[in-house]
Amino acid sequence: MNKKISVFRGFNLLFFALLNVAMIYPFWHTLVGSMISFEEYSNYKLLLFPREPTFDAYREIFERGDIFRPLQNTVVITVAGTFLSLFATAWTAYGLSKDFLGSRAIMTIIALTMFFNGGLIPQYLLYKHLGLLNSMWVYLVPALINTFFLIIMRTNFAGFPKEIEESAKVDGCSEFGIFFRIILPLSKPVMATIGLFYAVGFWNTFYASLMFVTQAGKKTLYEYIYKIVSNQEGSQFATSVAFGEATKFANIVIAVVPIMLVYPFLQKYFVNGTMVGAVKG
Amino acid sequence: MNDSKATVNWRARVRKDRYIYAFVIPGVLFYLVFSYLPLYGITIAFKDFQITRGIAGSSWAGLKYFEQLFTTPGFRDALVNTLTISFLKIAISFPCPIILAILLNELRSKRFRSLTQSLMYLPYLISWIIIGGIVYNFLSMDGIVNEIRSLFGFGPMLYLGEKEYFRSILVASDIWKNSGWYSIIYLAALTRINSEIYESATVDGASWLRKTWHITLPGIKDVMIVLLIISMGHLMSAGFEQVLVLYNQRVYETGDILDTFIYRNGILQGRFSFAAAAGLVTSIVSAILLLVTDRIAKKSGERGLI
Repeated sequence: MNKKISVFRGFNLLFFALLNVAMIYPFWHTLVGSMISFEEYSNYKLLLFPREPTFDAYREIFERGDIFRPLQNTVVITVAGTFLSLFATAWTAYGLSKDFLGSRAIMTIIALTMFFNGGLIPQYLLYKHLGLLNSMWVYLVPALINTFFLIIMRTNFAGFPKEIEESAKVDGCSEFGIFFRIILPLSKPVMATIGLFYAVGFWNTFYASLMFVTQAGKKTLYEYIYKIVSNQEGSQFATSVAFGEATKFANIVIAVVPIMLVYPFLQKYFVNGTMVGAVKG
Repeated sequence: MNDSKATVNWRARVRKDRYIYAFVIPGVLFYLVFSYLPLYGITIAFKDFQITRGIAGSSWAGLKYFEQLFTTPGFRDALVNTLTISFLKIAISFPCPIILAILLNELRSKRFRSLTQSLMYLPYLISWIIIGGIVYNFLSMDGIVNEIRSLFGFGPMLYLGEKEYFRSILVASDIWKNSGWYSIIYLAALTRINSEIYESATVDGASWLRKTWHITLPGIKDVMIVLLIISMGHLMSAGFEQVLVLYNQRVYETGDILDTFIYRNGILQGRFSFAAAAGLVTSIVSAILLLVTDRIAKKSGERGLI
């Protein structure tokens, strides 16, 4: 009996060890691939360690310089979008956490939107009508409130004891004062978690750039990366040397590094259960 | 409670809660404009839409564009591919996070466990644009997969140019990217199961497998069903970005999905009415699938979603 269990434990450990290698290797391969010469890449397919590390690929990217504009756009979108969305979501969620005339109807109207959408073409026509096509606002305004995050925040606000707000009101604090001086400071963990998720989402902005923006100067980083790495007609069959593999890898590394940097913070919060608790509820 | 409230005039209630409306109304307007207003644009599926005339000014076309759709071979392929790819993803990917969560729960070392979790969750946050780029590199003519093939004496093969491999590549990369993340929800569900049930089963001499089958799986059944219904609701979106990065003309027959079909026809070629008709068919099939699944779940005694 005990032997059976330890055999199972051993296999389980081995399974997860292999799984971890499978999870990490593609990223490691990309990183190493961005730091080696073309000769080294053609000789060694399994990239474990750069034998002669070189930053030529990065130098080439920065000398070409055409990554700067999309990179700058994405940074602007990420910073502005995260703040705007976090504020709009918290503002709306606070109102929705109250019981008021029409609260149920409004929650239904909002929750229903998780199950349908008008589709790409009606969306395109609406944005055209609103003047959002080829505008940086198309990245920010339609993405202002994420319904899932809105519901998580509402649940969080509804969990605060009513006494806190009541005593603040007695002290002469207005509803807006309560929101800014009491609710927001008390909600730091959930604000941090959702803020990080928004930031990752805005950093990954691709769809809106592809669909609603045609001016080259307003495209995002991920559409730039898409053009470099995708399996578009022709590129598959053209020689892969045209855009050196190392350069492709280096572009990917530049696009992923910011996510890797915030990931430890993000994980700290969501593993602590802020998100998971909301999903269960 | 109702009696006292009913006597209060609703105007007085609105006045008392006017601050709350200041918080709620901008958000409601946002939803009305960006989620509900586009529904009006769906009418162009029944019109000869001309951009200069606008939605209201374009003349009615009846079902012309729907007839065109169903006689276009590319649309039928895209419809079949979307359903096939989604069903494959559900059938093959769906159990993976459950298995991962159950096995992860058996790991003794806390440090190894948290390291594993860190690595497993990461790819979910990385865009398909990036992951697709890496997949593309691995499967290219001089990539690592072909290198392994050559070790066994096979010639190189262009996997992403072969239509019979495309769906498997989609499913496999989907599992790699998302299974870890979805195991979070099951891990949380596992902690709800009372540990005393396991202890008494152990006393009765139940094996690990029997305990998993009779205690663990029934204990997380409700979460499984909710997630299954949600994925049925997303059946008609088989993964736009994933397909867009990986596909090319050679694999349209098995890999083109409705979202990529609509993108090419609507945005790239400007056939707005035609693409809107395709979008409407997508929405209708999607709604039917969601309602049917929900009905089945309720019939079999589960809570359902709607």
